[in-house]
Amino acid sequence: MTGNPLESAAPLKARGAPEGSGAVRVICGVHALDTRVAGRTVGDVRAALSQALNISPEAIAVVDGVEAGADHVLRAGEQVEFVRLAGEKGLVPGSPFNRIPIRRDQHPPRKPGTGNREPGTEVR
Amino acid sequence: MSVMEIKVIGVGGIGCALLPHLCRYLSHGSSSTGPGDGNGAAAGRRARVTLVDGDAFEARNAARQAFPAAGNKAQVKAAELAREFAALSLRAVPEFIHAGNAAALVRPGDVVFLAVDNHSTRKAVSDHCRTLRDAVLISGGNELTDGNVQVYVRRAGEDVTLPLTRFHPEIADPSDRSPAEMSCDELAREGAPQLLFTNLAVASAMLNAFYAWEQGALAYGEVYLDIVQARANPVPRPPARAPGGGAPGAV
Repeated sequence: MTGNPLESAAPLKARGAPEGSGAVRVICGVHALDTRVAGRTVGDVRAALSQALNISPEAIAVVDGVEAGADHVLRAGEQVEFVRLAGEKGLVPGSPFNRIPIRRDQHPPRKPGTGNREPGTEVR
Repeated sequence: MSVMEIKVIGVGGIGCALLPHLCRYLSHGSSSTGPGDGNGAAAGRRARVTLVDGDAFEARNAARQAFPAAGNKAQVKAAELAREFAALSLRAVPEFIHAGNAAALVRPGDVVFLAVDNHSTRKAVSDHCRTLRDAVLISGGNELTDGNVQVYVRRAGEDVTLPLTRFHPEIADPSDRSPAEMSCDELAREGAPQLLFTNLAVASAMLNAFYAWEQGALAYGEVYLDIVQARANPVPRPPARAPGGGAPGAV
């Protein structure tokens, strides 16, 4: 063992595509990468990175905070996020129990008299 | 002294991981925080915590959920916490929340921790919060080893961050149903595998978001995490700029 290993550690890479690099930051869930896809469309990027970043076909594309269509042409310095679907309950890919089809006719009726009252049992 | 009303909706794997730490923090605060310009407990506010869940504890969930007795989750957990945190006000509501009772359970100014496993309930609560002048909604969910936390902040009738439904079509138009709408047979089939560690990571991220908001330092509207890859990725969710000007909110 020689010296403090932290002293020789490489510095962490700063977040965001480096300015002037011509890169676009692509995000999906915990994944983020800076890549030279300026001039390509959102649809191109989705197709190219769908497996690498595990992008759901249902994921909405958001460019610099604004929803973008598949034909949006990306510019250097932009950030495109394919919004990962929100977590549910220990989903297992392909399981028939992942989704239970909704039946709109089973919404429970509103109970009268509950609109302005805050229910609850006081524990203390 | 004003009271911070906190609602914890869903007392399952995430809720059980979150509640003891939330209650301890609300009871004792942080040893490192001063009064500051924050929004909540650090500024000396009292808090009342209301647990909301219509479900009953089942022994098959014991690997992820800690309950000292059988019975309704909200009631059993609230009683347990009340014994441990004598200075904290606790209440229990043994109901599932849905569009029909959301207005009665979530009030203006509430801080809501939403720890449920279905999008229908998320939509119902988010939609209701959109009608409130002030509210903080922190929603967490997970799959087996990854998850996300969304933070929807309303202040003075304006969105500071985006509602849960924005950019999330699976929540805006859910294909699942809330537990209040499901049969016992359907509920029994909901036993997909879950991992305690992922529940814990999501609960921790929810508490982190609460602390950041309370300190006036919330810099994201959604955070993704993965416990196997040891990654977390916070993403801003500012409301869209109004046409012709109008700066977005602080986040």
